Amino acid sequence: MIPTSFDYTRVDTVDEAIDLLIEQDGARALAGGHSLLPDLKLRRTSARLLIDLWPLRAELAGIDERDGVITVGALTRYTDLERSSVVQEHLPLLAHAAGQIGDTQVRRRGTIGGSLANAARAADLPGVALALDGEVVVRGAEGERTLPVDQLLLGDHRTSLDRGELITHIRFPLRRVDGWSYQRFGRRTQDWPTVAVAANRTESGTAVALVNLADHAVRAASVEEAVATGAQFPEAARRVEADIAPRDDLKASAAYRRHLAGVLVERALQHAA
Amino acid sequence: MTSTQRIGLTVNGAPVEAEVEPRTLLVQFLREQLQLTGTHVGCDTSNCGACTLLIDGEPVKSCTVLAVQAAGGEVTTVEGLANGSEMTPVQEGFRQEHGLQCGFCTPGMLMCSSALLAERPDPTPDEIRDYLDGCMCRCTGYQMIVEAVSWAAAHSTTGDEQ
Repeated sequence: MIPTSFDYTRVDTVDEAIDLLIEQDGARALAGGHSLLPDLKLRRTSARLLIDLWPLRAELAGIDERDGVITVGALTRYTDLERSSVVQEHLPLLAHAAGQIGDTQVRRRGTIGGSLANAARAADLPGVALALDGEVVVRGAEGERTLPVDQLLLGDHRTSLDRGELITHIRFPLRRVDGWSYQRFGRRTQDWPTVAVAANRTESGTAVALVNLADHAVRAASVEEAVATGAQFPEAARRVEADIAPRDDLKASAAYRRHLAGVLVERALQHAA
Repeated sequence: MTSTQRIGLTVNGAPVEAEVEPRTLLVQFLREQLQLTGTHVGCDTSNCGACTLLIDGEPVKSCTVLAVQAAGGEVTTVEGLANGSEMTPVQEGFRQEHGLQCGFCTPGMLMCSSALLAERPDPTPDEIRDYLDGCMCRCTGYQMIVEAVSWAAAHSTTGDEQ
C-alpha cells in the first residue's frame, strides 16, 4: 500500500527536530517506524514531513545506571533492552517484556520512546513502564520537563505531549527486585497482546499494571491495595474488575478480556511471589 | 510527479545513487529501481517477513522501511549472499534439507537465518524457531527450514563441526 506523499528530513540534534515539529504543519517524528509506517501505508494517518530521529541514536540510545536511577534513551530499541545487562539485572520485567514484542525484525527497529509516544492501547511497554514507576523526560520549545508515565498516557494513541515535544529519556527508580512476572496473552505469534499483566515486587511493594484492558495502560490500583492489606491472591485478583474497561474487538470480547484479567493477575501475583 | 530526493547507499557491496520519492519503500526501491527482485513483497503489512533483508547487518522488514531511511547504510539482499556460483552454508542447507517448496518466503528465511548464524553460530532448534518468528511459510510447516538452518550451522567454518 502506498502512503500519501510526504517530505523527509534527518536531523542532527533534538532541538532541530523540535523546531521542525513546531514550524512545519503536519510534521511527524519518525523513530523505528514500525507503528508509524504501517499506519501511513494503510492511510490510517498522514504526514506532510517525516523527521527521522535515527541519527540521534548516538545521543539517545543508551542505558545508564547512576545515583539510584536507571536512565534509558528514548531511541533504545527493544532488542537493546532485551540484551542489556543493566536492564536484565535491575529491570528484568522490562528485559523480558521487550523480548516478547513482535518478532526479531521488529525488535531491531522498535524503540521504547516510540512506543510510549505512540501510546497504542495494546502496547506492552507503556504497561511495563507503569509497573516500574517510570517517568519520561520530555523536551520541547519551553525546555525540559519530567512526568510520570501515568500522566503521559491519556487514551488510545493519545498522550499529554504538546506539539513540538519529544520524549528524550525514560527513567526508572533502581530498586531491589524480589519478584516479577509478565503474563502476555496472544492468539498468534507476532500479535499485539489480547491482554497482558505486568507485576513487579520490590521493597516498595507489588506493582501491577494492565495492558489492553482500558483506553490506555493502567495500574491495577484495587489489586495492589488488596495485596498490600494481606489479601490472598485469588481474592486480590478478583478486585481487578474495578480497574478495567475492556473492549470488544476482532480478537476477543470484553467479557473474555474480563475473564483473562482475573486469571492473569492471579498468575502474575503467584509468579512474582 | 511528486518531488524526489537523491540518496546514496551500498547495496550488496556496491555503491548506489538514485532519486526516490520519500514515500518509496525500501523493498519497492530495490525491486523496481534496481531490479533486485529477490526480495519479495508478501503481505505489505509488516507480518510475513518475505521482505526481510539486512541493513548494517541487522535483519529488517524492508516493507516497513523507507528507501530514504536506508541512505548511507549497507543493505544486503538475497542476491548478495552467494559468491558467484558458490552458495553460502545457509543457502546450501536449504538445498540439502529441502527448506523450501514454492520459494516465496525463502529470501526472507535465508536473510534472517544468515543474521541468526552470524550472531549465534550454534543455535538449538527452539532458538532457530524463535529467531525466525517474523518469517512466515505457508508450504513447509517449518520443520525442514529448521533442519536447513541446523545443517548450515553444522557446516559453517565458524560453527561447530558435527
